[in-house]
Amino acid sequence: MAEFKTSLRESEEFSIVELSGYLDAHTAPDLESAFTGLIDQNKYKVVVNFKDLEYISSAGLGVFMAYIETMRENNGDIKLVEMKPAVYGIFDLLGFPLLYDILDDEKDALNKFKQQGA
Amino acid sequence: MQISTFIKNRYLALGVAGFIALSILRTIFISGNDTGSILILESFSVLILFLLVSESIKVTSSVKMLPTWLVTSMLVLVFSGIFLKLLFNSIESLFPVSNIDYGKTISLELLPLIFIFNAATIILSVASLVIFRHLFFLKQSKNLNIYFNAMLIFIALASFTSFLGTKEYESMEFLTITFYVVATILIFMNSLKISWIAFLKKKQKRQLLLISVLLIGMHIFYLAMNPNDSTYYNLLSGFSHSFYRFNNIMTVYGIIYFSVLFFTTLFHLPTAEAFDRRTKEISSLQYFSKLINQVFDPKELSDTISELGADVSGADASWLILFSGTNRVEGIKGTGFVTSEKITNFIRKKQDLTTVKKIVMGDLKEFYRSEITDEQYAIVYLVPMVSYSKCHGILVLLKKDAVEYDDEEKNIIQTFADYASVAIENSYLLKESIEKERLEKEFDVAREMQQKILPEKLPVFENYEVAAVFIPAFEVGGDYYDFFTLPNGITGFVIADVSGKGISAAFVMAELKGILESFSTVKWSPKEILVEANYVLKRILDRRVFSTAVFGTFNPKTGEVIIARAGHCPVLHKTAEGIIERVPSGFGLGMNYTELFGEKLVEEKFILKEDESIVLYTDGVNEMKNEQMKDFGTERLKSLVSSNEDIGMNELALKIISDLTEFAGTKPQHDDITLMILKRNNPEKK
Repeated sequence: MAEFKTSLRESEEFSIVELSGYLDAHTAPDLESAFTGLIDQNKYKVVVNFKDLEYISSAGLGVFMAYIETMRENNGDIKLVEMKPAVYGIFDLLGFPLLYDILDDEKDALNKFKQQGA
Repeated sequence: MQISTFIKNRYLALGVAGFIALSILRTIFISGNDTGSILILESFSVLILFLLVSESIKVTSSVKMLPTWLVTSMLVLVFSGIFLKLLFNSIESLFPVSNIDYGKTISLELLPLIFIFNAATIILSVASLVIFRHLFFLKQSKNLNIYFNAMLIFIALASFTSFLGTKEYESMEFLTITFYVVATILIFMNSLKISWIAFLKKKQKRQLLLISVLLIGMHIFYLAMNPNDSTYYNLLSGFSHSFYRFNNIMTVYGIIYFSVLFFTTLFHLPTAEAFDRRTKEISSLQYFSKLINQVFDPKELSDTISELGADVSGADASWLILFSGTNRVEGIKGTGFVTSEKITNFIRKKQDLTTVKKIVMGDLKEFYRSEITDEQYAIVYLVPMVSYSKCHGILVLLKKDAVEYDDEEKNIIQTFADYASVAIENSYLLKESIEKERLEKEFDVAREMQQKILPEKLPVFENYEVAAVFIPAFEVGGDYYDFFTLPNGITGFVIADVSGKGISAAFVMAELKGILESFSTVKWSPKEILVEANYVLKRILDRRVFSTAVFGTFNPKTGEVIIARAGHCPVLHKTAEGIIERVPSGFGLGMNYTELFGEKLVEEKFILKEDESIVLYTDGVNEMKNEQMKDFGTERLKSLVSSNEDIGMNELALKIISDLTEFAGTKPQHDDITLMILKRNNPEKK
């Protein structure tokens, strides 16, 4: 099983978190701590890149639900980009696109942030 | 052993007083060389010797002597003896003592000199005997008193009868020779009892070899210094034959004993290393058994390791730095918390602790340049605690003196540290298994709850077939299905999947059941029921927990089905034209508690015609993985449903499950699997 990994980089004022591997109940705490780390630094504008994420379970989805709300309460957001069709299918079925921004790529996400900021 | 104990001992004091009395007696009164005088004199001498020897033994018997200490004392004694003789030889010309003999009263002016030399010689001889006795009883498991006492008796007899060696009693000489020979044989036999050397370390054995050669040489030299015609001989034997013989026998004892010791040690030397290793193992094993009893309490274990570590190494202070958790300092012994924290920080600055693979020594001069404290430690040792090639932490040992450990000591310390790390590892494993057991108990409770929540019986409708299968995963997911009777008499059904696993998911499931059950008695629209449920769940759910669900109503008369889908898997509607995926809009329960939930939730209405069926499932079905981590997928499920038209719905459900099992192969099931099938039969077909 592909190990779950998160890596963080900065682009302008935004934080970009790249995910890879399997996000499930066992690896969800890793993602939580990544988000907590960002909150500690008062970074609330986050883009999560799903390019290398193979699978997400309900526990993984729960992490996004909780932290998107936190970011939004602080005038930020988590934008989800570059999902594989299978992963998007899971988000879609659950109704994520109705509530959260799922976009094609990072550029779209950054533009969306800028529009919202303006 | 204190001098005062010697003085307090009455018999010993008596011996000393006797000796003084004898000297005065010998000086002033006993001058005749008649047998009577001699017997009195010699009896008196032997009695004095007996008192001195037996009482010295008694006084020192309770003191535990180390063999190295005893042998070293012996060295001092013989050296003193030789020094005494040399001293006497250098001042001998000043005094006309050469003619001391029986039959001559020793003049008063010579008394102090004679007294001092005789007393000193006798004390040295008695002391030698006491040391030989201690050596004899070292590491003896059996009671060997009788052998030693027999030897003492013959030594006494040989001493007492030594006057028979003079010309006057030539005919009786054989008697004293016999006693002397027997005493010597017994000495030799008792000298063989030297099992204590086996317990010495190799290094000590090598030292012992040297010392025993030295002692043999010194004893022979001592013996050779006073041949029978020398003044010193006259000094002793002229005063009392017994004293001289006793001194002589002790010297012979020394030669025999240390010769035997030398050869035995020599033969022991090749096996010394193996013996060392074995004793080290045994002592480590003792420590290990102490450690093993402590694994239930990690805090206590740290204390014990630290304490025993200091014991084993002779360190003045010790503590552990454990790598698990927050690199904490534990089990501080011999110093305070503040000092240990400061020194630990100092060490951390100097050395990356995780790279310590073997014992490392460092000095603390630099530390004390900036720290002024009363305690001053000179050096620090870092001992890695490694088991199964994993380093669990560092045993820190501090010494006040700057004497470094030699290789053997380091070996022992490392062996101890290795055992300690095994104990630490075990305590971790134990903790894990307790945790695991707790989790398993939790799973049991959750599983039981789940079973109780699910309907015991499926509803029965004329012309319809209902089937449901539920297979819990080992870790217990949050799947749930149920049937209700709505206020308008219509049947409601639900399938839901609470996110997360274990007891928390099972609780949410139970809450959900309660919520749905109560709303289904007052509402009859699937959408309304779900919207109300979502609103109530707000108070219950953790932010990261949500639940997907499909709530539907079904009128058996008309076949009308209304569904609302809260983020759940599609409802498969099998028609004559193929399978329709019913996916009306709606997101999961607990994702959003605003009006948005109701706004986005859309009901879908359709008629279940004859020969048609609907299949509801949870993602445990389509997300079932095989060894290649491929999903079972919705397509495979759909083709199973459409290709098995003519079998009963229970049969279909079982078929799907067996296909799922086959697909998964050895891959364990991670999530609950739930299937619900409703089919409207064609009454004409029957």
